Amino acid sequence: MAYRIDDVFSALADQNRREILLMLTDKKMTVNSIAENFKISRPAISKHLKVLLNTNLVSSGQKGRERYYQLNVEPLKQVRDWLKFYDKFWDTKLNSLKNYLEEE
Amino acid sequence: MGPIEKKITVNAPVNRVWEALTNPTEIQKWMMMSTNFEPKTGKDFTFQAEASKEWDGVFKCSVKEVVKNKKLSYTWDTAFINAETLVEFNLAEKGNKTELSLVHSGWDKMAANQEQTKKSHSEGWDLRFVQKLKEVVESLKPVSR
Repeated sequence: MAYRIDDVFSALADQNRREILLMLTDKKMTVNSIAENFKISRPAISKHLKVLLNTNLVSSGQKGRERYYQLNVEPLKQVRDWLKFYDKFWDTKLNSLKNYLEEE
Repeated sequence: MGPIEKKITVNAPVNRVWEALTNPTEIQKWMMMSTNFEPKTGKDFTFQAEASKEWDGVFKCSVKEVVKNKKLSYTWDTAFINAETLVEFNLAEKGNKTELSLVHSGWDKMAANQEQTKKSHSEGWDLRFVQKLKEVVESLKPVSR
């Protein structure tokens, strides 16, 4: 599934979704077991899970009659890549400075 | 997270490079639009990049150090960083050329600042999450550069 870094940051910007991700770092969970830890409603949890699924931060699987949710680290690598973004950013800017000054 | 470090040699005298770094009209030519930059310590200013749905495109900066033809530094903050990172330019005269080095540091503040954010319960990532994230990310393969 395709996802953009902006969407990942957007998904991470919500406190409840971060809490859900934290829970999922240790184990797979069902929507009910996740909801037990929250004051907000089960449908609200499902909505948050949908956002996390859309950004691939979470994946789900069926086990018998139960649907489990688990953390997916792949998009988090993009957060690490934030530094790589700036690395490239400065390469581009300094190059553009050099060109600007040398082409006068 | 260590600093980002760059070094280039520009075929222009040091005062010319300094001008490009400190004159708003010139900054715009190679960097980004800044309408309120002044090379004065303590001066708050902004860079404006193209905004998107999730990001206002604004970099909030504040001038830290100004040593004409030698050194310029400013803080650097934007959404998703939520911390004052530091951008430092150092200039060295090499005959008619200039050696320009850049250091962008302070990335660890990103995590440190989250503690305050957590206390205030305002927007931002909480410390526990950032720490966990760090663990997860560090358990992955190192970044290839």
